[in-house]
Amino acid sequence: MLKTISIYLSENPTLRYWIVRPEWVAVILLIISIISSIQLSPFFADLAFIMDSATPYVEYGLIAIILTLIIISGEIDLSIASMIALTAVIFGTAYNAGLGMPISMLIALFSGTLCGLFNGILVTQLQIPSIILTIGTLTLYRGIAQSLASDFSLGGYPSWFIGIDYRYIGIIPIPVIIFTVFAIVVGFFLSSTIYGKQLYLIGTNPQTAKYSGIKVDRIKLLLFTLSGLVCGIAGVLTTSRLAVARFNMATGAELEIVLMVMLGGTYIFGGRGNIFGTFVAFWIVVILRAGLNVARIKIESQLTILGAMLIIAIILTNYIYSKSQK
Amino acid sequence: MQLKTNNIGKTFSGVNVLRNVNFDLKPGEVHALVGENGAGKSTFVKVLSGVYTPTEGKIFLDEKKVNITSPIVAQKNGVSLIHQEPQSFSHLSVAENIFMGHMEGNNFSRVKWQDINNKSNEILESIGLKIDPKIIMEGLSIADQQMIEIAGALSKNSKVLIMDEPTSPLTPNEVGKLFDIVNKLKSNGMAIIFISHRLEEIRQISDRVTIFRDGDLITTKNIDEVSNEEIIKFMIGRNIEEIEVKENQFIKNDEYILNVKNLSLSKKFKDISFNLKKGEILGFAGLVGAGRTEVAKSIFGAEKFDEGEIIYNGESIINNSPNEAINNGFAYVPEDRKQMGIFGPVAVEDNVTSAIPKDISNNIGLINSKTVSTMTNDYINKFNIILTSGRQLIEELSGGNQQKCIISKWLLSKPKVLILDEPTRGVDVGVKSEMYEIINKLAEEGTAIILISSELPEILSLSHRIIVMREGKITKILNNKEATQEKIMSYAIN
Repeated sequence: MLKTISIYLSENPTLRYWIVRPEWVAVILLIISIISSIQLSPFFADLAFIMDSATPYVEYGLIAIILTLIIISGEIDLSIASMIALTAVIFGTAYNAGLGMPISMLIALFSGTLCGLFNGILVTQLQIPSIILTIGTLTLYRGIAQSLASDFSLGGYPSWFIGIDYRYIGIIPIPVIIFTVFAIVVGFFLSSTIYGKQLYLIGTNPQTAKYSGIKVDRIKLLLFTLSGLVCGIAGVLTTSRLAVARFNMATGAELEIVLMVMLGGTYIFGGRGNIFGTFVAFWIVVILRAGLNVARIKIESQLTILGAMLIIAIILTNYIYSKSQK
Repeated sequence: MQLKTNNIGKTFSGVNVLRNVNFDLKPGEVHALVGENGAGKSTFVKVLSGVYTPTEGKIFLDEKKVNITSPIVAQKNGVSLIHQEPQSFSHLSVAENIFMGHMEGNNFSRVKWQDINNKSNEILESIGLKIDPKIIMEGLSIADQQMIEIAGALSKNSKVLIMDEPTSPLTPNEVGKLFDIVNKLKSNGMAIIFISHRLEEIRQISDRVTIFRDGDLITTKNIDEVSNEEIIKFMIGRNIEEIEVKENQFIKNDEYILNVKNLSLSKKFKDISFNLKKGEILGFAGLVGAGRTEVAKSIFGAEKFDEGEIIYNGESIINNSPNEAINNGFAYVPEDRKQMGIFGPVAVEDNVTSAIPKDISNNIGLINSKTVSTMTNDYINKFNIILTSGRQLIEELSGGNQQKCIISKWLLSKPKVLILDEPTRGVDVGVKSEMYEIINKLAEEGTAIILISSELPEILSLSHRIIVMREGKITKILNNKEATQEKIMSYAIN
């Protein structure tokens, strides 16, 4: 039975293209999480509750979208969480130095961009593997944040700035809207433009990409820079949500963000994946976390369940890829 | 030890790469193997040393039949292979490298270092090498590493030593030293198989020579009974039906589209000068490693060059990257199809259109998928590419069809100068002749073509002129009329 299906699919590449896709794994997992959460609590039928639960994860979600692009092109950026903390601390420091809100925000975004650019230059010009380099800058950026802020919480922002997660358009919190719009824009970019296509080609075979005239290094440099910029935005958003900036914000978040990307079916070694998968994976994480909270399962056990889910997703994704490669 | 093979054959996925090889090797003999690239000599020694198991035939050592199923079994039977590039553990000591895999331990499995160091010293001295066995391998010259690999073989009491092109990474001085050692081993009764492309060396060191061609053992001769010309003749052998090189209107002009002057890149190639007309097919012949691919990559901007000038359409240009080269009208079909030619798990149509991003998208970068399929389908029909649809993954196609896709990809970029690096490697005979037709047609339409190939008949039947390279230098430029396989081979080897 399975054999006939796989033969049939290999003779119909277009059909296979639509059916054999790892993001279906994420979709199925999402449906399972929704069903089991509704069993746990009637709150889950309430869209507003789910939306509210999503806001704390939006910053991670935004970065996961950019990280998807980076992983598809065969690289990785592990300094993301440190860049959130560093840009947030720089933002807080600038504001407390009396630079005013708009300028402080610009400085935060600019410093994030600079951090990303630094990653990108070292990866593309010195040919340092990004997994090694960004483990280095992960420590470096967090270190700079710590020496800037030491153990202080940088607060004192105007009230209009604090609590972006409590502002809504309809029942939808503004951060969720930002995330969704961003996902749609980047998803469209990735799936429909030549630049998106080139990311897949670079991730599949960087050598062939180079010989085909694709500007591999320039594109990677741009991606890392973009990652820094988005981390800067996330830094400001997080500060607004928490009302303070601290050097230890988002500690360990890099792994949670990588988890989102992988849960969404993006292949960790590059060349395959998409934004839709990451978007779905974001909601899996949100619903699981909220559902498990409602079920009064401790944070520690939540991790166990998330981890198990990731492993299931990885096994299924690999299985699908091994089938689609034949 | 005496080694004998009886009708050894080896098949890779249905292709015979070795047929009925009856070979014998006497103790105290240096026996040279020669043949063109792909003639089967490397496959043969890999069978003897246990890297490959033969599909058929028998191997006898001292009249006893042996089944050599792995390199370890080969070593236990006294057969050792010395690699062209020494395979050393660079962070371990010389002694550890010599005794890798058969270090003796005491009752607690602690290595008897004293013992091993002393024995290493003995072996090294016996071949006249003054190296402290305790120093780290890293930093030793290739020659020394090679000698240490030989010492390793001696430590295993090898009786048959197979040396696969041992001299190619060595300087003349080091070759002399190696030959001293080889002679010493020979006089101790070691049987030695020696692969080399350099006929002078073979004449100097070996007693007998065996010539391989297209997977067959052609003949075995005593070295003083055969001249270099005869050896070359045996190597080439086949009488190929002559395909006429096609003249076209463009090459009658004296206008050169490309003029390469004194191109040099340290350790790769030196003083490469040639010119190329529109519509001309310029063949690059030579052995693997002669530097032809490196020259091509430098022209295409994938590698840099140290010195020299490239004049294109009368202007001096430098391609800093393949991207610039493509925009200037160059195209390069690489030798290593899998690593540099295709995007394996990607649809054929995305492969075919990967070098022309501007032609398949509008000015904000949106892909026009209809254009993508039309362009791909055009070439699928034109070149008769066999597949189910343009969305099929390219890695699922046969080698020949993959190559047609890559050629299509480059033709879509409308190149003025097309560089083909081993375009028919791993391509079956039918597709080969189709490929020749395509190449001839392109030249007729005015494309200037650089054709790098290790297959002499291919070069001879397509090229208007032939450049022969050896060890990074151009040794001869031949006109098609004067070129023969023998001539090319003699410039490629000597």
